[in-house]
Amino acid sequence: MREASIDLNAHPRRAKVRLRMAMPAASVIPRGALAEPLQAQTDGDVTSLWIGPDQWLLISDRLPADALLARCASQLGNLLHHAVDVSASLNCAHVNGPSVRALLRMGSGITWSDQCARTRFASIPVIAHRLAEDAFDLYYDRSYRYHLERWFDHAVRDPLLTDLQCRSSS
Amino acid sequence: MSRGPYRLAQGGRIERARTVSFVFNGRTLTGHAGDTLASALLANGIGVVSRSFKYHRPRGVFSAGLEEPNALLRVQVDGCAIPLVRATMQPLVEGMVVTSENCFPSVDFDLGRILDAAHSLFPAGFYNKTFKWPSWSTYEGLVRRLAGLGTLPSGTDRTEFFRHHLNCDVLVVGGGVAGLCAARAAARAGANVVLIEQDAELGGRALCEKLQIEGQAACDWIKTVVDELNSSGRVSIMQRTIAAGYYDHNVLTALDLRHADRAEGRVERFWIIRAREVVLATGAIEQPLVFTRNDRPGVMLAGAARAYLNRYGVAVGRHVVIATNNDDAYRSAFDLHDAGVRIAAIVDARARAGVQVEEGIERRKLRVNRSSMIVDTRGSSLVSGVAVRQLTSDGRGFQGPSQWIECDAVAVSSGWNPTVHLYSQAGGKVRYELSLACLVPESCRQRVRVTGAVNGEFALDRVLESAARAGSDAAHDAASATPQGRAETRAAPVAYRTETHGIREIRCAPDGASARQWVDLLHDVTREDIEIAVRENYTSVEHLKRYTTTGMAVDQGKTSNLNALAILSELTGREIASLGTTTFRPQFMPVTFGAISGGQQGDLYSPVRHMPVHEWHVRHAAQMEDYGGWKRPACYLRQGESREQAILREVQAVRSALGLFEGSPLGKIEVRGPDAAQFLHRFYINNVLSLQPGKARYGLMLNENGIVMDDGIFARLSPEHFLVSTTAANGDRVTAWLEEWHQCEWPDLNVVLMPVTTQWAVLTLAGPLARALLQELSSDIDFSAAAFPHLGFRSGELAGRPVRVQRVSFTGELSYEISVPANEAQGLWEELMTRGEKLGIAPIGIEAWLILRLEKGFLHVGTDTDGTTNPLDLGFARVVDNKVGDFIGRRSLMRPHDRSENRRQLVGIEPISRADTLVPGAHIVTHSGSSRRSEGFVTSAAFSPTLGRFIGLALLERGHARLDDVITVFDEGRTVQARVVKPAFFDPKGERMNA
Repeated sequence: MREASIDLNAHPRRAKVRLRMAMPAASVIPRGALAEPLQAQTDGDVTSLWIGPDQWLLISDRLPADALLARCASQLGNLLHHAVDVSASLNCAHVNGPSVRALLRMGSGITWSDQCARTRFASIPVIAHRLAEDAFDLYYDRSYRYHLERWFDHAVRDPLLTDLQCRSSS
Repeated sequence: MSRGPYRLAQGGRIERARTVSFVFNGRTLTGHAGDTLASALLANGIGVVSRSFKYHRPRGVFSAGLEEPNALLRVQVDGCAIPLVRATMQPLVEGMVVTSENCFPSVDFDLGRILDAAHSLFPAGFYNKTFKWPSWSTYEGLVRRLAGLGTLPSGTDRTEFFRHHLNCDVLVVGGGVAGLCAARAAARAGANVVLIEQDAELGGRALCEKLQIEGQAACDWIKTVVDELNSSGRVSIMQRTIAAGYYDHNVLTALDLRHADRAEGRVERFWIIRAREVVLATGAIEQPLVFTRNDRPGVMLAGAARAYLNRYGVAVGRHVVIATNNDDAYRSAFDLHDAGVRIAAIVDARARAGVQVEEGIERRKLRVNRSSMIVDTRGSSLVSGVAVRQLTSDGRGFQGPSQWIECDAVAVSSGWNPTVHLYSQAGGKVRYELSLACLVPESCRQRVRVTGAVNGEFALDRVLESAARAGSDAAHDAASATPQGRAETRAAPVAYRTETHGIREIRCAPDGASARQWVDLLHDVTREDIEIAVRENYTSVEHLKRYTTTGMAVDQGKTSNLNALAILSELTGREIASLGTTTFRPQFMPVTFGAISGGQQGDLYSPVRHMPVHEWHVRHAAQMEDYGGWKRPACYLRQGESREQAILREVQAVRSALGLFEGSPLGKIEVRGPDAAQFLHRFYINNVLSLQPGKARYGLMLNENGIVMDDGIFARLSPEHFLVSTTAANGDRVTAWLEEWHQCEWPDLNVVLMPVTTQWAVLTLAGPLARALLQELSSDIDFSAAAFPHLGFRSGELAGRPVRVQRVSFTGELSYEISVPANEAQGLWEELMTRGEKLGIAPIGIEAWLILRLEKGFLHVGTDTDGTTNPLDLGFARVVDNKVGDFIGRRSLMRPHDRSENRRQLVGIEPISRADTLVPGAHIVTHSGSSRRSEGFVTSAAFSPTLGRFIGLALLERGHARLDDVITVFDEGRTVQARVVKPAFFDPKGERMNA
């Protein structure tokens, strides 16, 4: 069995931009420009995660947040929108391993089958991005870092999750 | 009280090679792996295991399942004692220490038994009628000490609790024959199935019976089916897991005790399961007969006697009497007889049993007292004999004399009643079926099916047919149902209800009013109690339940509801079917609060947030406390300093030099769009439209009733871009408030909202030297007084970091609120502290911050306001009057009551004597004769190091018109004379913050 891990501070340099559009504008975006509901979509260096009917989280490991903001401005310039760099406020927790779904189901009642979901996990708001069947990124507010760490420490003590080890890279 | 060993030489499913030792009431006993605590006690001949709840009567094991009302014992494993554990559900664990509850000095000799002798003083509802003179409180202490069952857990509880969620296509509750068959059918149909079974073994009643199923012995059939389920890859089986609650939208909860007895420590797991389709195969619970002194140890359910024999190899007695009104109990008689136990007699309320049963009786030459019932029992504690009388032909009376039959155990049965608790919790209707003489499911609006005994199906071949159909239908419906789809009302199938066991509807010995006949063993409710209730006109089942307590609490009437209904029917002359049933409530079985919490206790009870500079604060002796869900420094202790000294020092640092305060939790919301100004203008009592870019303004936000809900600064970053600041505790609330109004009321306004609270850390530099420090740092912002006046806003760079700076003040001093990306906050904080050291900079905790604002008389919403405070009360009448256009709450402020001068208004107060103190919460009182009336209360108070005296803010009736009045402040018997003053105690002209 390969090692399973929980990294509460994964991808610390990842740029994250939250994009919100006015509802009239959100309804006229051409299909394919941004992720569809409950989906994630990668276009070149940028992945967009659907987090609401008028909201997306744009992430990139290669482009800085300023570039993402500029991209929003150029592509959506004539539509009312607001894009904000949230790289400093959102942390990314990466969780993978054979028992990852059992572990995640301890924190939220969603099915964890969608590519992207905005939900409450461990009593805090998160954006979940399913990378593979057994690998997820959870974007969470940095102020909950200690809470989430304690929550995972507790959860992995459940004998049902014997193969998970809580490991933080921070 | 022991009767010697009762373990048979052979039989049962226990591991005879593995002996397990345990201690019961100080005696070391042994059992075997596979035993329950109850079977081990019975095998050791333990007859009396507990004392009853109310009358302290001796009680023995009564059942073999979760319906057990008597054997609720205190079980200690690994140093932690857990009360009221059902011995019938508790696997035997090596080293377990078991103690009887509710008895002193011992279970065999209990002084509490005196209550039984005086039982006539304590009938149902006695506390409503007795102990009235001189008053209830005279007796209350004694009654409360005697009341209740069990004692709180002792020892160090190392139990770990976890919560899990689970989604599935089909949830099958019950791992008996019906449940296994349904799960198999659902899995074969391609559904993802979860199968829950309360027992540690799958098979349900089949484990206790000598059955052939589909041509195989029951145990072989179970193994075959379980192997198929395990190999299907679609079935998750959860044994020793009890489905305890069934809620709307097919959400069920279950308590998982799979790891409850592991050596490394007890684990309880709470499951929240969302199922597209549910199949309930929860079986049925055998009901007892009601006769005089039917609670005597040795009297138990006939099916339980069979279970102990066939599953655990334990004979419940050596001379057993079987009492029944149906054919099923004969199986117990036959199995016990075949195992070598003497059947003293079978007492059957019917004239004749079924044909096959009669053949069995004939073959075994058993003695049967036909058309008879037990009318009494005898014995010192344990049963030693029963009195039997013949029934009249209509079953409503007796004829002929009683006949005593010697015995040491009595197995009773008045038929099986479906375990409809979960079905009822789901909203399912339940009705009394006369032909089966039991309650059966009728219909339910949830996506639920019932199969097997829970649906009144008692014939094995029909159960197999019914369960297979339920499973495959559930799988089919789960595949076709959309998550949003609403199920039609589903009727429970009736086609499979073919077996009646030849039951005769006689449950209670007639003419029983002369002595006590027990109906609810757990709550010590007798037939006499029900008679009293009916005499007092509590003839509704719901009233009867509450008046007598029958069927209440953790038991939920598992062995008492039906008999209580039968007696109520007899006493009121109404048919049982017309009486209805009580509501079965969650939890079906007791679930610990720990399990429900899922381990969310201590640090995990509520998520606490940490600020970006948290680690620096901790390293520098900050006293971290919870403020509005955030861990924040209350103050920073220096060597040898008390908390009070630290707070005063920090106040003085800000007034005399410089302080640095982290205000990152302040809520921040960006509002952008061509209608942004108009949008915000409708929320604030202040004018927003007139605010120019680069400027900030203080504002109050009201709810529809005109009550102050939040305050803060809003800044105009550009013509179409605003930054709204809220109080720290209200960030999420104000965001939701703005969203609701935008989405629901004003979708026509073209704006976009974006909360950015934690993207930006806020470091506030306050004090007369604040500007000097900022001007030392590299920046493209001109911090000079002329270029950056009070209530100005600037964006730029500071010390190489992007910042947003607002010149606003909560302290009354020259002050800059510096917002910096959260990941840059600690670096900037450290740089400010280092560069400010020569200026006397000090980190400031929140306690000093609040004193500084109190000295200035600034409002703290939530502290200086309550759920009735409007802006007029706070002195904002001119702002409201000058506001151009409408805003939320304005209409309410036009009501006469809201404008009344008699309202409680915010004022400052200071004690007449400088030595006197003030405390928040103290009332301002007036005296009228000997009575005292409150005119308001102190909202904030503290010692002001700047002024050298206590000061406070208060909400006081007609306060604005009472400046210079002397008032009386009352606090816990102490009174202080204080003067009413304007709220601004320090620098009322604002010269310092405008400097």
